[in-house]
Amino acid sequence: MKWFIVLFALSCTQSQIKVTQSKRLPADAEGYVACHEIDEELLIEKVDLREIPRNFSTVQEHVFKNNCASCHYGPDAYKPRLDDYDSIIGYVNVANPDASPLLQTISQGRMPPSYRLPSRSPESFRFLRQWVQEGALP
Amino acid sequence: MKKLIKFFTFSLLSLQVFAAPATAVLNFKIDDTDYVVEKVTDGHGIIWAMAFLSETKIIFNEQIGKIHILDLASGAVRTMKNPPSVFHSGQGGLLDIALHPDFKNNNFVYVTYSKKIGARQTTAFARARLDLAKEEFDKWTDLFVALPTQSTAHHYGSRITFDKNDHVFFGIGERGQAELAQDLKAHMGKIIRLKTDGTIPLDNPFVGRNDAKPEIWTYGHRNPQGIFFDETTGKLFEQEHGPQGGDEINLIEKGKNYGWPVITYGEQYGGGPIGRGETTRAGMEQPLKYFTPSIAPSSFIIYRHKRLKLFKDRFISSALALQHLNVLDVENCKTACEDRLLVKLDERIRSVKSSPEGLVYVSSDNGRIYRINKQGAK
Repeated sequence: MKWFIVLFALSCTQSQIKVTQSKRLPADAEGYVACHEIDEELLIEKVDLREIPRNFSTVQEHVFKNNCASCHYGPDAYKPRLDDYDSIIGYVNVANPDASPLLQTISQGRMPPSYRLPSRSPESFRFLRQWVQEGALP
Repeated sequence: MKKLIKFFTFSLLSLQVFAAPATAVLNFKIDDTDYVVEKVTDGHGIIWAMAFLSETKIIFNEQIGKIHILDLASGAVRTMKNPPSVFHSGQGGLLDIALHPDFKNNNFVYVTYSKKIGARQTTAFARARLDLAKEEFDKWTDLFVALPTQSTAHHYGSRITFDKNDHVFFGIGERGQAELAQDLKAHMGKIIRLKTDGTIPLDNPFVGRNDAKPEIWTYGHRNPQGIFFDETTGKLFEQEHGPQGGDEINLIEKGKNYGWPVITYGEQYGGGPIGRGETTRAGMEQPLKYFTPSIAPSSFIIYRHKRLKLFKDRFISSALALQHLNVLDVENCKTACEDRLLVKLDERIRSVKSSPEGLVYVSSDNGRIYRINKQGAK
């Protein structure tokens, strides 16, 4: 194990509550221990992004909404404003998608910020890139 | 006739087309008990908060500024008229929603929201009466507006809880101005305590001081997005986003300093210490628990029902970053273990609440509400 995690088997009364991890952990540590073995079974089929038409609406639904909306939606949001087509179009390069600031920001790992948002999935990124490649249609 | 057409048009507009029966989406098993997760509504914007009008009716909001009531029996969603006017941008918008403990008699609904004042914005706390028959709020009144306003558009906080003595508590984020969390002349980075009518309790710790805001209950917080008054123990708990790592759960006690940004178990985005890199200092409180890496906790409760054994007497936190429902023992912390549920849903979990009868509901940034129950139970 890369990082040794010190676990305390503390018996805390309600009036004597202690910190459950007393040592600073590196931010990339997988620092948690499961209490129970959990067996999850998904009962619905996940959306196959390869079968979804690519337009601004579907890009919002399948990429931005779950990764970017909390900071990049709204009139005074952090730029680029991702819920506004006219705004976002300034950050894409249809002729050379990989030169798009929007895609570069993601591919270079600057966004979404580490440890704050879900890590970008290859499927989502591919979907977004294809949207740009196909002309970034509204 | 025109009035009739107008009435029917309005009725159709206010009854959204989200009505649908609950759909089972996930099963999971813990300790030989099978649980089912059902989707009870879908098709909304970011559902920031929920509150229970009854076992079968949830009032919930969308961050964009809408408030709806979901009838769990039919799946129908009705939109309430005259919601508060909010500044929706970035992390701001309509934040928490909570019912007065005596809502059945006074119909008071409380919200926290981001408010534009001139070119700047802040967090406000407001209330209005909800006329359930008319599906309409009366006039919204700001009971508290955090000062000074800021030019930033993030770290607004904010969740609401009530104790049993007519007090209300809510958190204000430091708005990206970390040093304000230690400044008692600013409301940023604080837990606020008021009477439910908005007046300032005279026993607040900084009442009567010229160098402090009288509404402050505790300080040194970063971005509190979980607060829960535990009626079982009479204790107040708070949860907040850390920077990179260092999300915290704290036991909140009158007048205390929780350390941000002087002490933290997190670090700068991209690495490097915050301040002197201290994690402890005399006069500053330690968290009960911290999360590294961050889970990005957006709300939490302590589950005190008996119905779902998995959750009994445990913290349940909704997690945005690591997309799960986090369940852990804190009060009786024999180990530092956690359970991470709903991982396969792949959703940013925004809020968590237990129903009056002890079912657990969560909302997501994808505009859905899910219910957790034992398999085969009604």
